[in-house]
Amino acid sequence: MDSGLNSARGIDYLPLQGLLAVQDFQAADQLTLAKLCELAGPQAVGRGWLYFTEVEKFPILDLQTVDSLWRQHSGGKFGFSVQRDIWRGVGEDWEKLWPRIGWKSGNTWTRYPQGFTWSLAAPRGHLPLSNQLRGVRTMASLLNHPAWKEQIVT
Amino acid sequence: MFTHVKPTIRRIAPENPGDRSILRVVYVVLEPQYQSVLSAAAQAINEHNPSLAIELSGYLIEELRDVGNYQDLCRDVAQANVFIASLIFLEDLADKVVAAVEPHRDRLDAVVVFPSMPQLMRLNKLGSFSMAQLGQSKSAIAQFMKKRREQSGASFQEGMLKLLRTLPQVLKYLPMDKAQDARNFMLSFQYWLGGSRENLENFLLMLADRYVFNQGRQQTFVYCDPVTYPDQGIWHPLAPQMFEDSQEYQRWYNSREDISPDLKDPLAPCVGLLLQRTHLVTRDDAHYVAVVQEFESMGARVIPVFAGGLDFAKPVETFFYSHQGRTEPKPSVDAVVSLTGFALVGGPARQDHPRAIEALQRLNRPYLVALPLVFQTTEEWQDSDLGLHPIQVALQIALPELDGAIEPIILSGRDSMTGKAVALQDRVEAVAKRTMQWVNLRRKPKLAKKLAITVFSFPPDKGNVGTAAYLDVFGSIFRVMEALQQNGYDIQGLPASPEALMQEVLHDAQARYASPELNVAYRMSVAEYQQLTPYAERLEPSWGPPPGHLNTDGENLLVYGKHFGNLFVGVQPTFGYEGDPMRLLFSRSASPHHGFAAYYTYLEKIWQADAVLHFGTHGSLEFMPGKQMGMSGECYPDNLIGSIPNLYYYAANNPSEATIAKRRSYAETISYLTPPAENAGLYKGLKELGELIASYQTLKDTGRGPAIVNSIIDKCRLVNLDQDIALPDQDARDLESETRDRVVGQVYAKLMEIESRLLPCGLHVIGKPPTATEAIATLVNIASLDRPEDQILSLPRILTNSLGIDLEDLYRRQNQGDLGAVTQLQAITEAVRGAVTALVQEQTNAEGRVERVAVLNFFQMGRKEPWLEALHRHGYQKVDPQALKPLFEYLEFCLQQIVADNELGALLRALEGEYILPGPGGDPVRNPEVLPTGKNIHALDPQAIPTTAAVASAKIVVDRLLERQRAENQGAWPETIACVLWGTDNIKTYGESLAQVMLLLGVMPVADSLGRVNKLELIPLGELGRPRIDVVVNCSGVFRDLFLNQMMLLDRAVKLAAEAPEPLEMNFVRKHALEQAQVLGVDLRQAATRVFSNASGSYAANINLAVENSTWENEAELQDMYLARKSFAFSADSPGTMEQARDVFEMALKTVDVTFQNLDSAEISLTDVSHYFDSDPTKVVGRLREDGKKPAAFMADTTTANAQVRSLTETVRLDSRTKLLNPKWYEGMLSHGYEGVRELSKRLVNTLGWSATAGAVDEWIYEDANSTFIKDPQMQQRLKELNPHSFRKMVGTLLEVNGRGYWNTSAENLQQLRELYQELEDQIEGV
Repeated sequence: MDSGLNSARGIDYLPLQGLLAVQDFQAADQLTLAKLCELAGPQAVGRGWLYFTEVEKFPILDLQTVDSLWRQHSGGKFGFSVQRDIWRGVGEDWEKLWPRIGWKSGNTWTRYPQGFTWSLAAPRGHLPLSNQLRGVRTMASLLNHPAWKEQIVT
Repeated sequence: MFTHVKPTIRRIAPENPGDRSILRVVYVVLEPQYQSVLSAAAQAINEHNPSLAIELSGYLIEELRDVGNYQDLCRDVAQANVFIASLIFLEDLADKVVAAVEPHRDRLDAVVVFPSMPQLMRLNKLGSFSMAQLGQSKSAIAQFMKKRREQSGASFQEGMLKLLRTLPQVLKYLPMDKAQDARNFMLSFQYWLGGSRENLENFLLMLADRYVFNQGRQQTFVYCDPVTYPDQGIWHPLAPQMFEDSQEYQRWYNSREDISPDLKDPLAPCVGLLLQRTHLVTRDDAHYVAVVQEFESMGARVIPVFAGGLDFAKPVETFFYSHQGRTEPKPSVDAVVSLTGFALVGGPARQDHPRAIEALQRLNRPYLVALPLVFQTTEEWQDSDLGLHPIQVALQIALPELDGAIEPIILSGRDSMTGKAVALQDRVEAVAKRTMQWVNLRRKPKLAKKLAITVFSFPPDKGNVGTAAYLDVFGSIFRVMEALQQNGYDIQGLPASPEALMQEVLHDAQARYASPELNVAYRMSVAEYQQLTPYAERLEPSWGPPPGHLNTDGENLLVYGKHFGNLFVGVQPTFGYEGDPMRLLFSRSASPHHGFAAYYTYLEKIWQADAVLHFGTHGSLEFMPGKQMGMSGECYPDNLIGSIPNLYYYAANNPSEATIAKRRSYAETISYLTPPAENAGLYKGLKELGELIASYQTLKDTGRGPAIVNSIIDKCRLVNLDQDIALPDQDARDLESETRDRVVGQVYAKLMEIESRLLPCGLHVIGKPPTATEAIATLVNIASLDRPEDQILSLPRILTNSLGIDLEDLYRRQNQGDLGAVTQLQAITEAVRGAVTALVQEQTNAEGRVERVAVLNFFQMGRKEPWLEALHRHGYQKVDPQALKPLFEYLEFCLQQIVADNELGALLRALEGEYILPGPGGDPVRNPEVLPTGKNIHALDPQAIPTTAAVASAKIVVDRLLERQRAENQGAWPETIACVLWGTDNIKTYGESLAQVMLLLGVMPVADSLGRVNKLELIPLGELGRPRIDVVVNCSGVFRDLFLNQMMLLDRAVKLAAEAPEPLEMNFVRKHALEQAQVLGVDLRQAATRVFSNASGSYAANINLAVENSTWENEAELQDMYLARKSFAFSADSPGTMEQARDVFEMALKTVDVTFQNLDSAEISLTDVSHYFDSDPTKVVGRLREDGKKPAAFMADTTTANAQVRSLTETVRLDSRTKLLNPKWYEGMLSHGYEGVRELSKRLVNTLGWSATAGAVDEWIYEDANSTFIKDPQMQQRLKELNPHSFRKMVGTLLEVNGRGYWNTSAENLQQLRELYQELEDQIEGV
């Protein structure tokens, strides 16, 4: 059986699909982080954020699942792979990426949650969010993940 | 302002208070990390507690400078139940807090103050527990407090921690009722230090339960005991708990499954991190997580350690060593990065630098201190040209530097809403990459290390390549190259001599000998340049598209220099705008040009230097535009240096500019000695005059006396001393014998002044310490200063004491030209020299080097000390041997330090990634701690100046200045004095010139119990005994960078004086400010603006560059530069900005009667450097004054024990006589060849500068210079051969001086100069 919601670690992505299907992007974004923490393990769940090495160990399958859910329900606008494409397009320069995806304007970071656009009116790559308080390494691991280099046919 | 965040965002009130009891809490803290956690604790109570709700308002201490914020605090306190404060160590703000809280103390239910200034600690009260009687009560805790009061700070807090641990025992000895409250106080401290949301929640509940709602209430509040954390330990973001033991941490670390085996290899690079526990327990740790992630992603192991108190030396000693078997513990880290921003021991309170240095020296690893933004939000810092808040600069840059910390890079910002630290990705990367480069230096084999040496070229002329203050640059590089080679570095093709080395760097090997081109080491295509230089685009608005027209062949960017195996010796490009009058006028400097950027791109990306060594004082990298302090990724010094470790040989006597290099270009400095000083001596006519005086002394009572006096007077006229001394017009035969004596006395005093002047003779060569005999003059000067702090009397004082004379009285009589006094002082000088020489000879071996004998014990050897013998020989039989003993022990110590050789050794150690011992910069005579050189230079705690001693010295100078001005103006007081403040001057003298300005205003600086100067008091007019003199203060850009807080203090002093309701004839500040307020239509405070400097990130009036490059039409152009660039006003009412205020500046300058500067050391005098004339406003004032009168110009000279105030022209004469025109000086210079000629040329140009800005140069000085260097055919030939470029500049300068009308001379002289110029031009251009 193939629901398209595959996980190498038995994570249930159905609720995420549900939120995305009704375009509740804010709740979907929160749930995405929660699911990725679940994927990383109980410690990450307790802590509520991801360490870059945990992301490196993520199964390709799961990241592709989450990514394709976001892409499917946003007409290809949102998702990690979308962010990766834009990032590669600006020469992997983070400072150039942030304004492109609407996370920063000038010197000012966009405020959570009211500053973000929780609809398809958002710029390409706007969602899902990756918190930058602890630096860029986690997001770098996400965008450098092998999940985007080889497509696994399921 | 530096910060605009309104404390109101920290207000928390319950949404549904219902019928719950309301607890009103106000807190004031230094550390923003308590903000979010206190908010969270209050919110948790408001959401969940059935019977209590909290109203919370909080303030960060620095916000209280704002009047509105302070009023809010007072209002909040008036309604509060509980007041809490922590770590308040800034006295002016501590006093404000006390003023707000004290009136309500009795009414408040509880006041809990954690370690802070004593006046705040006294506010503490919990029930019967009180600290109001701090120091008077006999209870155990009060006794403890009393003991600690003197040493508030680190040890205070450590003591408190210890007390917490031993609490049960202490409580046994307290009466029962008191014990409960004292126990609760200590519990409060545990809750606070435990800092988690739960702890603070329970803390508030405990206070409510025990002290607020403790009477007649139904409900109780349930709370738990504090959860405590280890005092010190190891933390990791992924670890389930904190570790108190290294091995436990290692075990956990090695069990990690998320990292590769490479990271677990014990040989992997390892970085030790220092963290504050409060950030961990309050969960304000995002920036720490970011740094750990960054290092781990770069392949480094990390050991992040924390301490709960303020002593981080302990965790360094506990966790950064590996203990294997029974061998000595070995350091387990390759570098240490402190993320606390604080000094290693003592944090914001009282530091213990010796203890810190001891721990770091033992560890012997690079020690970097990065810092979080504390008072500013991220945006406030990013938007500020000044950069980091000055209090943070003082606490978190200046103080760590005293521990030997390097690389003060900001790693995190602060969220304006939550107050939480937020990682700044590009800064975190900068910290991590630069640290890893230091680690790399430790680990890479020497043979494989690639190095770069950068030399400078100021002004841009080939004759100037390799300029550095007092340094024989190529001679020194040669020694460094030899040392590197002997040490195992791959140095190829070492030239045979320094001269050969210079030729190879200076001349294009492809072209013929002495070609006009420098040797090109690399040609960088524009495409390569753009690809490797990410900020190249930002340079285009200033310089157009690359390659531009500097350092280019039109197609490529050129990097000049030469490779010697793994060493590259390169020439730093110049600013590039020296020749452009328009750019010189800009108030802000332009960006570096493409050629400049290409040079540093080459070093980092193409040559891939493992370290760069900037060679000598100083280059332009650290003066490139950017924030003043606390660089961002948009600041050019940061962009240019990239990630290369930057070592910098720096003159020990220039701590201020060294500090700029350390902070703006992340340099680790290694100090070098200035050349051994010698007495100027007498020459030519001056020498003959000396002989005449000697014969007068023996023959004055014979009939020949008057005739000799006539000869003396004639001779004086011949050598232009008639300008300095009022000579009688009539024949000496018609004079009274006392008058004759006075004339001769005056001449003698003048001669002695010239003769005994200290000069650095020649240039220093790195790694070549002076011989013992070369050190004599320096030691004589060390011996001539009283050192009350060490209970050492100066030798002249010991000698006058033995004669029963008062030394000050003798000085006074000498100043008046009393022949007897002059003679007596000269005899004393001779005796001092004799005694010091005896000491040195005793310690010296046949080669003139000092043997490693420590203190000689002549008493046991059964003979008289040789210096005592010498003094007896000079006729001082009654000298007190007890007073001599400490002095000569001190001199012996100083001698050992002077001749110690550590400059090369320190460099080699730095290149191996070791810790370089810090040491103060300054004048070895005033502060022998400067020695031995080879240290990482630091300035001082900027809040410590002016010291009491500096105020006392300043008073002497101010009195003499006013006395002299009045003597020349029929007793009239000057209304306004224009002063210049220099960074180095104020570091060396601990703020003497700062104190002078305050004293002129009649304001006294007051230090707090930690010795920090934050307060001012008006000296009552009755006590002052004169009017308050108005001032116009111009601060050098360096002073502004280092002492912004002192600028604030000065501005407050000016405003204090202006606002004093005193008669206008007794308060010129008020008089002028009232007038100006009316004319300019501003209020009195705004009109009382007297403290000016450059725009932030910009330095100097640029008159120096214009003069050096002869790029000015007329004097008005120079004056416009001064007015445009130096008219940025500082205001204590808005301290985060420097606004241009040219109208106020000009109006203030209009009232100036006197211009005034200070000379603080003999080796940096008027014509040695260009910055004195660059900032002299004498002619500017003349132009602005309504009567067009040039103001009187004075220089204070505090280089000798008997401080002098001379007119500017007198000082220029003295300087020219002792240097440029003195054979002893110029021969010393010329012995260094190429560089020596450049030094001559530099003095001549600087002399021209004094003609241009102040009209302070007599024509005879140029005439004598022409006779000495041009008309003498042998001299001319020598200069031509040694450095034709610089000699051409000398000839050109003399022609320019004549052309601008500063020197009229004969047609023959001019003809000769013109022909010579053409000849040199042809020779250089190879026609």
